[in-house]
Amino acid sequence: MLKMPKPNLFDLNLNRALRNRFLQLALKRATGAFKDLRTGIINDLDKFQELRERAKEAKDRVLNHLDHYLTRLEASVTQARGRVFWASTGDEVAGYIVALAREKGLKSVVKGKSMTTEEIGLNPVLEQAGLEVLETDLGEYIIQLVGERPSHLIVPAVHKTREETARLFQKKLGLAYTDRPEELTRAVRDRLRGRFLSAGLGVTGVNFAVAETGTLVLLENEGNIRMASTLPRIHVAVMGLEKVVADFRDLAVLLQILPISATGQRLPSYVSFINGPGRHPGEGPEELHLILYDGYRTKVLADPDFRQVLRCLRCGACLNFCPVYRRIGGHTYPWTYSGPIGVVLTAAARGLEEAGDIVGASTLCRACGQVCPVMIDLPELILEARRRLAEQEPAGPARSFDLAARCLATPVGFDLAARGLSAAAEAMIDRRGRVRRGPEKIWELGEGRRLPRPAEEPFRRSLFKGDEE
Amino acid sequence: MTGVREKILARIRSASLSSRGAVPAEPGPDFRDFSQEETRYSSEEPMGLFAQRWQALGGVWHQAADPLNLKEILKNILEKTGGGRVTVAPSAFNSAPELGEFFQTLGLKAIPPRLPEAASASVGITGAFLAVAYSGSLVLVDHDPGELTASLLPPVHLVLIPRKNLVFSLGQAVERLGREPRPGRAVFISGPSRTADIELTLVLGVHGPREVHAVFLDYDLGS
Repeated sequence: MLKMPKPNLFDLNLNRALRNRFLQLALKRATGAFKDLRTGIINDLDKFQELRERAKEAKDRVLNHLDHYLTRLEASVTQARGRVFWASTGDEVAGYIVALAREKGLKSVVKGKSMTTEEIGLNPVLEQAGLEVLETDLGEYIIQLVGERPSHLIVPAVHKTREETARLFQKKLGLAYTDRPEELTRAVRDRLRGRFLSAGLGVTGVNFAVAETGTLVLLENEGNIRMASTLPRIHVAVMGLEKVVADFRDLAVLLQILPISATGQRLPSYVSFINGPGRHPGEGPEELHLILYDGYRTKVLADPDFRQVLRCLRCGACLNFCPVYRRIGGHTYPWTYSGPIGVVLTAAARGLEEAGDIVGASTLCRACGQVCPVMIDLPELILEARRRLAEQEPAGPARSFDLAARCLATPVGFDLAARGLSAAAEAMIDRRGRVRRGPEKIWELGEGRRLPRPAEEPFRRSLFKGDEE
Repeated sequence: MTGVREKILARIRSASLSSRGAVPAEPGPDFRDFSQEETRYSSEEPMGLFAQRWQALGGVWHQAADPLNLKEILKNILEKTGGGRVTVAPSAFNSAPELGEFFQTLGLKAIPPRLPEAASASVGITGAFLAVAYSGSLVLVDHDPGELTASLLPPVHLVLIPRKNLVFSLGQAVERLGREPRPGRAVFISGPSRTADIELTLVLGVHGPREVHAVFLDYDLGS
């Protein structure tokens, strides 16, 4: 049998997601809207396929020579008076930020949305060290208040209704009940404005870091990342090693394809280019720190099959187009990332054990592979993960399939098997064709279902009857 | 801490051993335009495309035929937004030198674009370093102080676009930003601050401005 670490948890989450009518509606609306917007813009582009190929090329260039481009980036950032810190583990990232805050006597942190820090689980560690951490992206703010994790790469709180958010704000912020999104948003704006102005430390992720110039590029729609990277005295940007880009030429390509794939926008509301600390008081931090974080990246780089997942831009297009993600939502997936890229990243980075059942959560319709802006062969990698899981299994099931195949290949064997199965099916159902209560495994599938009664005479026999006469 | 750095680099090198050749030579500058907007719209001025895209994003569009016209436009906007507290960045004065005199005649005193004074401003005015027709974006840079403050903190942001600063494609804009002297900070602004995080309902003005006016200066400076 397959080794499944948390089969019940997966089933539980899956069933909960499928029964949640709001979630079903919300997922359908969100993913549908992003799909339509993306398609609309692509229809307007003459050379989208060429753009994809250039984007893939741009990522492969740095992945093939990651050591070269990272040391180049380090030199450029340092030359721009930024500081660079290398971290192998999430603990090292958190440790660096905590030590920095202590050294400078800073107590409060404003955060921009960053999947890399979600991966690390940064917030709880900072909080345990006595820092006050505030997520400032609206969706992340909601998620932080309830203590959950994002369920979509771009819309982290897609699974929350406005009423849930209204009650949450009422309870946690002491706000008079309103479920109007404008008023809820305004309340967050008012609460956070002062915090941006007073926080000493801003922590963000990075979308692209240009090796040639040391420029960090961040994309967003709300303006919170601009605030968090401009107003506090110190800005710490945390990036996975794979975010480095060779030069402005490659940047121009990736900057075109990312927002189209993510939200169907040509550009989001704000794209910030950051080169070193601020040049004027209040317009950029006194100190800029860039953390180059490995985690699983060098491990995946060494795997010739899975290495290509390091091209991922975290756009979420494969989620929006995945018929499975669109039904089960992000929280059914075992790790930070969901959808097809989540399956593959979890298997590559966290191992097959942690990925477990989720490796099966794909119809292999191949839509994910077709929309990926950097041409990651997601369907093939999902199959590869399944192959590796199967190889880990004891030889039992494989051997019995082998035996069955040999048996069915002979006319006598086939006839025997058909008769046996027919008799078994006859025994499984009652007079009206309903499945009888029986062994747990069969009952699980058969409860409440009807099966057609097996024919009195096998098809094979009636087919050849004429010949015999 | 060099220990960690060296270990990471060693892991990368051992992971890449089998597959790679030499680091590729830097390819020549090639800021391709995959949208081909330029060829498709070559019969028109890029201004038309910019205006269309900018308004589609929820931005407000104005076109000033001459400095006198600009003053009327500004007066209208400031009246509508109740612009009692206006903060003006140096790039705005560079784009439209008559701005100073204009404020005097209106009896308005501009707040300096710096903290803490500008935190309470209701309107911020800046100039655009570039405008990008393809994406309907304005690009601001920090060559002078005040650009980021005036464009981020007030709920209303007004941007003056000198005609010569308009380009077609994103590639052209990125190429321009890569040239020396490179700014410390640059920001592409494409419409108002927005979110759809609550039930996918679009709300404008989350942390940045909810109202953004682009004023296209359709005349040559000094004319």
